[in-house]
Amino acid sequence: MERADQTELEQLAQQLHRPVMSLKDFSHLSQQDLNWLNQQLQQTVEMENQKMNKSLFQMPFFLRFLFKTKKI
Amino acid sequence: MTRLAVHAEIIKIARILNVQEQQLTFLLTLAPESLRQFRFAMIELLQNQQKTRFRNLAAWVNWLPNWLTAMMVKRFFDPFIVAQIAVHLSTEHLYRIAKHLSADTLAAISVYLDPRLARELLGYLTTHQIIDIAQVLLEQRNFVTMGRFVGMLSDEVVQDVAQIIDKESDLLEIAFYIESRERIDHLVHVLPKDRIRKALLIISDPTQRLVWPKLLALMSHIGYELKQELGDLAVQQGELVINAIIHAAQEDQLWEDMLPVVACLSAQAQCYVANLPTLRQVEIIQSIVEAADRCDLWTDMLVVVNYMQDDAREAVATAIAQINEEVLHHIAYASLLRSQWEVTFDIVRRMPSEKKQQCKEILNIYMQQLDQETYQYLDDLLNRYQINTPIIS
Repeated sequence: MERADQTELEQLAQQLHRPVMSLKDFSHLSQQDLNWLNQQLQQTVEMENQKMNKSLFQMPFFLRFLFKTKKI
Repeated sequence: MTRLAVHAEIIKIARILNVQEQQLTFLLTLAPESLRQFRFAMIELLQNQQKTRFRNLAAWVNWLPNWLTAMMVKRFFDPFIVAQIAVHLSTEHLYRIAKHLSADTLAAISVYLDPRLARELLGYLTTHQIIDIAQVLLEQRNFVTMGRFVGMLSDEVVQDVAQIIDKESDLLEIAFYIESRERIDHLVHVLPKDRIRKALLIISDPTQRLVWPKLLALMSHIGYELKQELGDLAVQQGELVINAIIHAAQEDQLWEDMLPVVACLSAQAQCYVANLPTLRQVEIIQSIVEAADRCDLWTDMLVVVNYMQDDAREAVATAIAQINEEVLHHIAYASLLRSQWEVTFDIVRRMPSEKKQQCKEILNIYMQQLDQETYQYLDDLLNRYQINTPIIS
């Protein structure tokens, strides 16, 4: 496994909260492909969050309090 | 059962990442199980994004009357938000809310629902409710979602749901996306034989070309007995149908999926398929040989070659001779595993002398480790096929 690949792979594993070994099959992919996958995954997470926030924002005001997260 | 399974996984991953399948072609080299684990990790990651927020809401929902929650679900909540909240509610509570929801709403939620949760919830729903939801998903042609849940249904419900699916091509689409592959064999048994036969005949309909890989996928996922049964049924349809299967497998490069299916056919059917003129076409036999080598399928390949006559064996020998020496090692090992030395030597004798020499060297390694009886057996075979490996005492 190349060092550069390892970094991308590690980043992917980190995003998914999985050990790198669980993605060992992905080490055969090129750095470019892994990089694209990382970006795409990050984008998907951001889009899902945006989608959820947008959907929550569109709710009537009297329901919005239900979705408030408690501050620790 | 690899290329097609990989393809199904890529489609599912593409849906999650919101990209075109073609953008994920670089994943084609990975094992389906690795892709499946990757997909589940992504689903979990997305589900955990605003976990605290949805857990809090679920706590509120527990206090609300079910009719009020159902009304909120219908009027104010997006289906994917409902699916997120559902994770934090008990199955019984979910069912009490689901009772107040229409099939359209439930179908919309099911698209985002965690399969582990759905399994329990499906146990509570009536057959009538499940059929209604299936009907909505079918109208939307959402086969991925249907495939996710069909493996969780009881046999009776599967039979009832199958009745509302008029087209066999739709059945194949659903089967293609089934999550629990080990259930496919059983599900096929649950369906009426006539429908399976009709599904098989799709292969002879060029207008349904896009569904063909799904049929081949089904063939590759079922168990040995059913493979033989359906394979023989396909052979009974005649050369036209078999040629269509061969061309479909060649066009989509599905030999790694199809070779094990051919190796499962009855002796008579294998003999018929193995000697079809179409199979002797250079590019086809080369693809088959390459797939056998790439996917470690020589044991299956040797079974098929065993039924081949001279012309077909010549074509196989020529195709093997065009690959590097490594292939000969793989064949020798498969021959040892399956005791298919006769057919192997018959292929070797048809190869150019340079390749024969390489085979001899590989065989020498094996012969040094054999017991006297096997050694003598192989030595006799080598003489019979005029390969003449030097005898090592």
